[in-house]
Amino acid sequence: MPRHTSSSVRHLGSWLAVTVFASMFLGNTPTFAEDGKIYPATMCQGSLVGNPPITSYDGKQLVNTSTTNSAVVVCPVIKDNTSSLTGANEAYVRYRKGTNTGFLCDLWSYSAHGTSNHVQFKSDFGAPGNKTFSYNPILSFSQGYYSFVCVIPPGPAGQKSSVISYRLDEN
Amino acid sequence: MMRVKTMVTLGLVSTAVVGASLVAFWRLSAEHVEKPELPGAFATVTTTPTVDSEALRSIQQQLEKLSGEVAEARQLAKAAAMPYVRHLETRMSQVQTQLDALRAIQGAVPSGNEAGKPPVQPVEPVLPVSPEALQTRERQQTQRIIASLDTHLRSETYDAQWAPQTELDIAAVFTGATATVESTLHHLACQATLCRLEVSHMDSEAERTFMIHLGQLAAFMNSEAFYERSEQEDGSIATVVYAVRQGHRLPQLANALQ
Repeated sequence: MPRHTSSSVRHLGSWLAVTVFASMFLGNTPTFAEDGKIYPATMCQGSLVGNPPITSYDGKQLVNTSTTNSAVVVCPVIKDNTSSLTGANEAYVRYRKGTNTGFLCDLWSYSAHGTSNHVQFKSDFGAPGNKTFSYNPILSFSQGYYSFVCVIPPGPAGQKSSVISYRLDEN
Repeated sequence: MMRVKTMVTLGLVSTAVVGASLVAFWRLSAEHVEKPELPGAFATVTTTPTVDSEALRSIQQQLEKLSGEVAEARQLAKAAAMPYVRHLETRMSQVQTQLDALRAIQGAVPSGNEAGKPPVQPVEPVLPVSPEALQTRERQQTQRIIASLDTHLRSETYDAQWAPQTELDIAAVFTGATATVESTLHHLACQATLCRLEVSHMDSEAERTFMIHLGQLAAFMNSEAFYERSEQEDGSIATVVYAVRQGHRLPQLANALQ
């Protein structure tokens, strides 16, 4: 290959590489950024059952410490787009299932004035393990809000169940 | 040596563009809309947003820069570079959309730099919406959804295997060994994929407990429900619930909300 042609090809390659690098940072505005926020389970309102309450946060997950009672916890979601009617897209809850007893996590979309709600049910009656609930897109209401309502089953020592984290992306 | 100089030059240009863009988008992301005080429940007040002319110019420059890059890429690119050309065109389209939106806002806001240009029609101020108006609107939206679900329920055929068993399972929530006495079933009808229930609850805690139980039934496991609710003077809550069969989705829900 003639030297000048080779030089032109290398010049093109270098120019394109630099342009790619520069363009990666151009035009990235909040308008197009993904909304998704991942919340730690410490944000959930623990169970009011028991004294002390049967749920506790160990720095990583919200655990049901009871050996007999299920724990109902409410995990709030901040709705950024307050007037949106286009709903929430991706949502999941990461949890640890300590036993074969059912673990539930329902996703609630509340209207602002309490005239209606939309609920997605999720339950797991399978084997123990670290797992994830994934949800379909859910409706949203203007000025409304979301939350996950989870029922964490009881378990013996070494087989405790917990909520680890959760996420909801608004459209 | 020439190549090194070329690379250095291009690097400096790219760094300048990145820096200008970061400044522009920091300005754009700064809050210009007043956050309203909420005097009571759910009043929403908005003010007409302002646009920084410098930010607008920066966006324009960025668009021109991208346009130049696309033009040069077209001249020099071989077949392997065409996907990247299309990527740049996509980015241009996005930035153009932003520019158009900002110009539309700027056109509603008088600016000293716009001397000599024809006067812009003033934008009608957004009047605050009262809590009552918001509640009325929300109620109307709910009624549209309910009407849509009722229409769908009436159009379904009766599933002689699924519907009776599901109705028994639902009734057992109120009469079985773990029955909740804080909720009362008043009416129940299932068809092929949808069930309609009228249930009253002692309070919101009972309401939530009932919905959790409903979601555990085999018929509705990992499915969904929409319900209208009405808080009564005595603190009880009347609900009309539409629960959809496992493996199905609530019909036309999203369309009814628009």
